[in-house]
Amino acid sequence: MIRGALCIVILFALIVPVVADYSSQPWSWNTYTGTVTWWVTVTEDQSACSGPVLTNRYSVPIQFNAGSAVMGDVGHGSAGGTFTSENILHIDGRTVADPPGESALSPYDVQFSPDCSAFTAKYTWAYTGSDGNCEGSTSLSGKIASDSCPSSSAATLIPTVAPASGEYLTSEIASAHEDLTTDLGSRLDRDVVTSMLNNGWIRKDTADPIIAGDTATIHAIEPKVEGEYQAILAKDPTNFWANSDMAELRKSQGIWDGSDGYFGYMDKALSNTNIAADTAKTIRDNIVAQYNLAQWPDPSDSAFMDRLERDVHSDQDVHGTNIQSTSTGTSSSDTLSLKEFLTFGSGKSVADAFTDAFKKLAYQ
Amino acid sequence: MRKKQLIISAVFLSGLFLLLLAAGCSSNTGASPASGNPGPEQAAFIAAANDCKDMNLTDNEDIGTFYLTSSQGCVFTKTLVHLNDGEMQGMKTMLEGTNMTCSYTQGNFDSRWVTSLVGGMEYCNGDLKDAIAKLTIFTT
Repeated sequence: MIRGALCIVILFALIVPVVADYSSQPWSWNTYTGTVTWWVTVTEDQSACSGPVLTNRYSVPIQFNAGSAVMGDVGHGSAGGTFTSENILHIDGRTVADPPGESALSPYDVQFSPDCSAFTAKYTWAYTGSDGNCEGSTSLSGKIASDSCPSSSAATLIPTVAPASGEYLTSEIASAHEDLTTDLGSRLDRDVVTSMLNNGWIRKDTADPIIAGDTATIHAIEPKVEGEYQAILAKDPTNFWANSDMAELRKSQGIWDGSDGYFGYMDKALSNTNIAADTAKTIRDNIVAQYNLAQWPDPSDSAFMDRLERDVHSDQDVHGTNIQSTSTGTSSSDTLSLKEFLTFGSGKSVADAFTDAFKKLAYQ
Repeated sequence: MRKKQLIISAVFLSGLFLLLLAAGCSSNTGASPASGNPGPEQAAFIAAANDCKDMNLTDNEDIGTFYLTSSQGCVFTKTLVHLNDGEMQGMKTMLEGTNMTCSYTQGNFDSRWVTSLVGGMEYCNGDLKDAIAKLTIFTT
């Protein structure tokens, strides 16, 4: 009985620091000063203009100035307004350029939730232009890009606890990942040309400038990539995306061992078991779609997959390390299979697969 | 950049064409056992490759046909020429005609490149490696 109660207390101690810490007391945005970043889902209904209903997601800053606020661009430019109550921001109607014409936007209220975590709003617009006139509406649904309310004096929102996979880091990760993909593309290009040169498939005077160009790109971009990821990991040391990308960078550099090597970063990434499983599933679905596979490849109906399954289990030694013995990724088939993919795929191939998975999972 | 890619693609395709042509005319062929211990032809190839000798082998396995080469530059190339019937068309599209190259130093040839689909693949590059890696995510 006592042991059970102790377990519950320990579980709460472990769980509480990583869950969202929104205000339990009513929050008042009309007294706050500072800039807060929001993830805003913008749904624009253009059906009356013979257009689609478009939904996009943006990272939008709102600058609060104790009683007034300026909302960043959600499609029709930034707009200022005044608070009419603690959590209702009123934005006046206005006319904005909407090439080739212009749109008259209705006044609207932004209704913030009393726990500080969200807001909703909707306005209508009337477009007039040389290509016709029509009306539509735009709905906004915002979610604070943090796990907690801002502190009262903060100029910029900094979470008070390290998030498990901080949503506020999404734009930083996307930027770093783009640089990493460029770097790994240059590394792959250089490796392929070097192999072709060694095999006599390409002339030296053709290969050398390509290799030199790739090397210059690698030397220029890799310090930047490492700096970007170290900044992210300083805020969120177990971040799945940053650790898996650092693992691919280290693998491409041939640095395998230690906490700053491939296996160290890979283990940290796969300690995020839920997102690892979601990523594995997303990559599988993308492969099935890319190659128009009628079904998931399965050892029971594919001799190749049967052989691959056996080889994967018998050839676990990678650069002198048994990857089964590394600390994570063996608890479920999803994390283990993702580990195989991370380990055996080329850095560029893995980075490309993660680009698609990141787009799908990080913006949910 | 596009010119560079065109040069690489042209040379790469020429090399692949020559490999496939040679696969049809190879003097060495051998049916191999499943992964693990090498068969006699595989063992002979491994010995020659370990000495960085020019060598090729058309390796007929139960899952398909591989064409293996080693060169004096200590570069090993593995091409999946044909995947056996019974596999999904998508798998054939994904794998057939792909290859990977693995560089090594004399005396340090990794025999798993011949006997296994994945063993030692971390030192290789190519679309065969990437296709196999993608399929590992379907293993359990």
